[in-house]
Amino acid sequence: LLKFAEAQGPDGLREHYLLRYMLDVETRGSQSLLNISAFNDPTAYRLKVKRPGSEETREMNVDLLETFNWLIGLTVESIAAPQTVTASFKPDNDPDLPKDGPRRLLLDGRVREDSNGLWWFRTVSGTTPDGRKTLVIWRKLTNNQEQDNLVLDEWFKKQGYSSKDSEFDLIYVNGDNNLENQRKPDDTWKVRLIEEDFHRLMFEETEM
Amino acid sequence: MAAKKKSKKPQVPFTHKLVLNQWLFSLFDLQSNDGSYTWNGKRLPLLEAFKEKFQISENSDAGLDENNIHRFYKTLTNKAEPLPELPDDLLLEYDQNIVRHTQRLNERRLARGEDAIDWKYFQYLSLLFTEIYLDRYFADPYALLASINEQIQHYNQDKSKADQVALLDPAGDVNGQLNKLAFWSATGSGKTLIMHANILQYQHYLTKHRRRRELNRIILLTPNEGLSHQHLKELEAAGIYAELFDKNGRGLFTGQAVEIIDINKLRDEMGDKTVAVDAFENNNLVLIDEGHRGASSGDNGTWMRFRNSLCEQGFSFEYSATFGQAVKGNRQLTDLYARCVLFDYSYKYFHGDGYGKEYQILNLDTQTQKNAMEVYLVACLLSFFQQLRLHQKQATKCQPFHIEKPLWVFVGSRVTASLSQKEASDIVEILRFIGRFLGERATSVAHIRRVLDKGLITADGRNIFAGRFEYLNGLRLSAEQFFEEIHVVLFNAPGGGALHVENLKGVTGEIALRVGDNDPFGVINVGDDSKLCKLCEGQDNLMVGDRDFNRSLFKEINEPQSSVNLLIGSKKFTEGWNSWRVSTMGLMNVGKTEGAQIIQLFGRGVRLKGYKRCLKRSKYANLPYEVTRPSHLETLETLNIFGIKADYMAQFREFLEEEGLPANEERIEFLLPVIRNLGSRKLKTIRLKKTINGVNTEFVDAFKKQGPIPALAAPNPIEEPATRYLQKNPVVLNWYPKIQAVRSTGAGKADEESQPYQGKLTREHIAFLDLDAIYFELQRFKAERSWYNLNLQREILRELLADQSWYRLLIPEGELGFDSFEKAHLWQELAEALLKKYCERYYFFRKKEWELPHLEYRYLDATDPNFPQISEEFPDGYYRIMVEESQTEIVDKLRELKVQIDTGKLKLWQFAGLRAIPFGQHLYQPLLHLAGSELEISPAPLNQGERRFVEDLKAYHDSASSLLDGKELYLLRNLSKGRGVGFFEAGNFHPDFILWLITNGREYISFVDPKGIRNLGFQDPKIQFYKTIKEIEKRLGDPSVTLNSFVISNTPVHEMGQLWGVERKQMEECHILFQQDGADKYIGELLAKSVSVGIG
Repeated sequence: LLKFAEAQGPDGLREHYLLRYMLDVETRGSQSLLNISAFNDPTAYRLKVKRPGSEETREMNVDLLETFNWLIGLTVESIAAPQTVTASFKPDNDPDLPKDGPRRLLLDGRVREDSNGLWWFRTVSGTTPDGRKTLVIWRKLTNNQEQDNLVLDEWFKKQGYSSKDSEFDLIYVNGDNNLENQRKPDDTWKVRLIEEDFHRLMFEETEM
Repeated sequence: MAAKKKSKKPQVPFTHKLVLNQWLFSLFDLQSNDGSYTWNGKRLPLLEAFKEKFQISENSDAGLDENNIHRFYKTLTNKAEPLPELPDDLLLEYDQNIVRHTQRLNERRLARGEDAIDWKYFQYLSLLFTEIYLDRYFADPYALLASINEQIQHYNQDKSKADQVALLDPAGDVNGQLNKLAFWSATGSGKTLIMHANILQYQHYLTKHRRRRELNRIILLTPNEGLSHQHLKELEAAGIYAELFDKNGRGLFTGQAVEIIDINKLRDEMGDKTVAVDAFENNNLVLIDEGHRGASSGDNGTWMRFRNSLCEQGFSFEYSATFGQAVKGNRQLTDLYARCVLFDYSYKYFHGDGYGKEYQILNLDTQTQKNAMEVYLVACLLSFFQQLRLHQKQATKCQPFHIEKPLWVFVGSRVTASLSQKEASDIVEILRFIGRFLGERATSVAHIRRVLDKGLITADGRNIFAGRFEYLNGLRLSAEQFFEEIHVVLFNAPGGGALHVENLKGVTGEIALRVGDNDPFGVINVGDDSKLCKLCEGQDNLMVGDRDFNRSLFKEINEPQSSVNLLIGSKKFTEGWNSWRVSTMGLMNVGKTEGAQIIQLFGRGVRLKGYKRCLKRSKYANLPYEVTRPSHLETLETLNIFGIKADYMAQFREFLEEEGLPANEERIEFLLPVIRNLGSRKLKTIRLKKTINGVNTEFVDAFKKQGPIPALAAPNPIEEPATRYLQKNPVVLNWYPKIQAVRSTGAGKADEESQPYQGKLTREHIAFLDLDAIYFELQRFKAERSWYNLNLQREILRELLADQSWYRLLIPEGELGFDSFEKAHLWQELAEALLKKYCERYYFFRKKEWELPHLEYRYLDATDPNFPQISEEFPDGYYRIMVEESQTEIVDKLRELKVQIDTGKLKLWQFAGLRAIPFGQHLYQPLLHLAGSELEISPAPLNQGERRFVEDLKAYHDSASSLLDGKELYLLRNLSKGRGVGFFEAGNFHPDFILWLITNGREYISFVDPKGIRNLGFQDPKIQFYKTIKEIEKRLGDPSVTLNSFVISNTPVHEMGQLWGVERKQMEECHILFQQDGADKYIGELLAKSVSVGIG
């Protein structure tokens, strides 16, 4: 692209690009500058870290959970033990719908704890500096978003997080989700995406 | 007020003299020389007339559409007549400037997880007015001066000498006369945000005119240090670099950073802590918060001189809640501010729009107050106790409305550190009262009983506490029980005890109030604590002492664990102290000269967070259907104001009146019944089945609950043939108007190309996009639209953008060329806009796909949500009309109307902008139309275009045209979201009316929507809906029913012809009819067409 004729010249795209944007564009999505899709498994974010004083680099695990608590300035009240669950699914049997059209995916049975289950959750609860009661939900994602989100919804209901007495102001989840669909009209909690705030808080620049 | 005084005194209220404001409204074709305009036969303040004319209000859709254009822009330009002074593309240019500034101000907020700014209509108008002014100021100040002078002459022509406004001098310093703008904005209306945007607006025009270098500094003047710190914090939150002025260090960033300095530090000469005005030179941008402080004549105009010197060759923006107070009695200032108040959103508008708390002034005449002082104070204490108890019992229910624990404050207006004699004696008086109340049980109980049973009757026979204690009286507790409860709830002292006044040794200026050894229930915050304690010594019922304590009770007031319910103090309250808790306010030491401060205090007290932080009282808030207001919520949304001396209250009322606020306005609810005309007629309507697969679908979004979870994806007709729809109906993004808007004043209009270029984003473009940013933007979009059931994966974006089959992008070819990296920003914006549009199209596609098999014809019955709500008293349903109590005339007239309805003798009824239209063919009557906004009606009244349609249809029907021979005609208003019949495939289209024609056992059902269509493209799904409805007809397959849809345009046909490049005939084929053609023609066509098109 930078070789196009129109991109040449002292004011051309090539010049602009090299001088001002190369770092920004080329490093997007690299692990060291935060790779959004790596949030699919929060336990396995790895970075190559150069050892000080030598040329040696080593792969190291980055604890996203702790890092995020720190980034949002969470005063942690509790970190729950991880839970692993399993579930099976069935399509909705609505007779009005055409046979081959899309249907709602439903749970077949309940979400059950199972150490071999595909779905893993871990929660942190605490308070943000401005006093909001916050729940952070970390989960591992499979490559089936529909199932992931359905399991999240059901697991969330089962934990009773939406009940009145344990109400949170803010709920963080990694991965696009349907959680707010569970919200009742007079509930006040809001869902935010972990990776979005992670990203912003890491790269927030002071501007003039 | 003083009507009999000599005619040399000005008679015209200051709010009617705002010539600059009048001039701006005149650009919107609202000419006026007294601040009001006659709209539909009603004299309205300009802002209200503006709201009527443009159908814009506090309930209008705010925010940006998927093209990043403010929805307000559409509202403003979606009117019949274009504005000669403000063509649409100019308004669009202004809008885009505002959008850019807003996004800039939101960056930091979003990064912090805070809510982004969404301008309210009045804030948007403030910014728009600023754009208009600055554009003209920079382009041609002489022309601007001349037009303002024209307005002044227009204003002056019928005014007495004393009320005239002096002309600007075209031969004098033109810039110097035009470089001051002022905003009259109620406390709590967000003036700080406006100020932030104003800075960016000014910088934009400087840059545009290549004058950026001329700007020396940006200086923010505040009245005191407390406010300076607050401003620093808020500028920081907006990501605008700012610092407190430091006279010794001129920072690196001078001219870039906003320097905040409080006015007390400005002097003629350099001093220890002060700085000479000359040090700043005079080409600065000066921002002034609460400028009235210095403007009032008391300060000999020194302040004014400083300010003028700072911005002599620069510019200034000034913000205040109380200009009315500031200019009182000063001709020069009156003239000055009349010419520089750009926008007036003072309390009366703020309050009238439903923002902030209701207020209740509990005042007595002097004589009664003297005699019944003790009872009066007990009543005030009770009204606070009532709030506190209510809150305690309903804390959870109140949570969605963001009601904080009530706080009782006593405030004086003085800001001096020393304790004035008057104030001290007022404080002692309050303490003695509390001491007595606690100590003399029998008397207190008797007083409580008297207040709750009888209230307090004034000299003119009014009971000022009538209906004020509904909640307490409803509890059916004895006065003794209340006395005990007051101890527990208010004084934290279940066991009772004496009142202790304790000077806190570890905290300067704080005195704790406690009963016995319980947690303190109150705190006094004064400059001179020991002096006050001395005064209290020896008073009956007061135990004065010291205590070692080093936590500031005052600072903890806003913490959830604070035990403090009562705050007495003066200084801190005006100095940038903020609390949402204030709910009862006692006034101390209010003199004649402190009007401005008092209004500010009041402004602080009436602030309210409200439902979803809408800042409104719940009666005005847009509550979702399922949300109910907890009972007595209005008691918690009211600020009670009383004074410990009657003359304080009198003075206070006078201040309020000068600000144009009605002294005590209560809204009352008037229920107006309707007559239903449905009878046993069988009329079909289209609705989602009442139960789908066994689940009830009423009042919920069934698709979200039961439909398949849509996952955003590119159309894939091979795998899923239905998605071909997304390719056959691609989203269209036309970037030409935006580009023209940006260029219109710069390099001259872009060439009108006959055939717009169709571009595509290629792989190369995509390589430059920041997909993460797009992804987060789409996440925000998803949340904003509440499409929580949509699955939106980050990975899908690249794939979607690589697929060019789902969009048409109209853009000048050059914009997509690879010659400058700056264009990558544009591409980013294009990709975002395209994806948002597609997201919407896709969501609606999936929703329709699922809902269509669940639609059915259903016979309309009494429970149809399109009928007004019913109650036991009104089984046919009713309108709920909120009227201000003082408007007894309207209430009387409404009663007459009610009699007409009750007796079934309905005639056309009209009063004060409200019109009741009887129409027997409408399934209930009357229909209401409202011009002006003093009333609030639900269901919402008809707008102008709808009213005209109904009246035209009625006239046509009454004329017994042959076309209607042998046919029955019925009409029903179709309500908007959640209640009426909606078609999301056409962008969640809820046509305004359903029209039935019945003949020979066939039903011809037509959906009719009268509207302005200038902002819709010819391909818009709403315009093309006439085709879609036929698909629905086919799908439902009832041979006795014919469906049609019509758009009734109130935009003239020639204008649409120009805009769309489409012939009239073609528009008519698309079922677009024109109101301008006259009732005979367009109604006739509508009826003829709706019966002629059978199932084909």
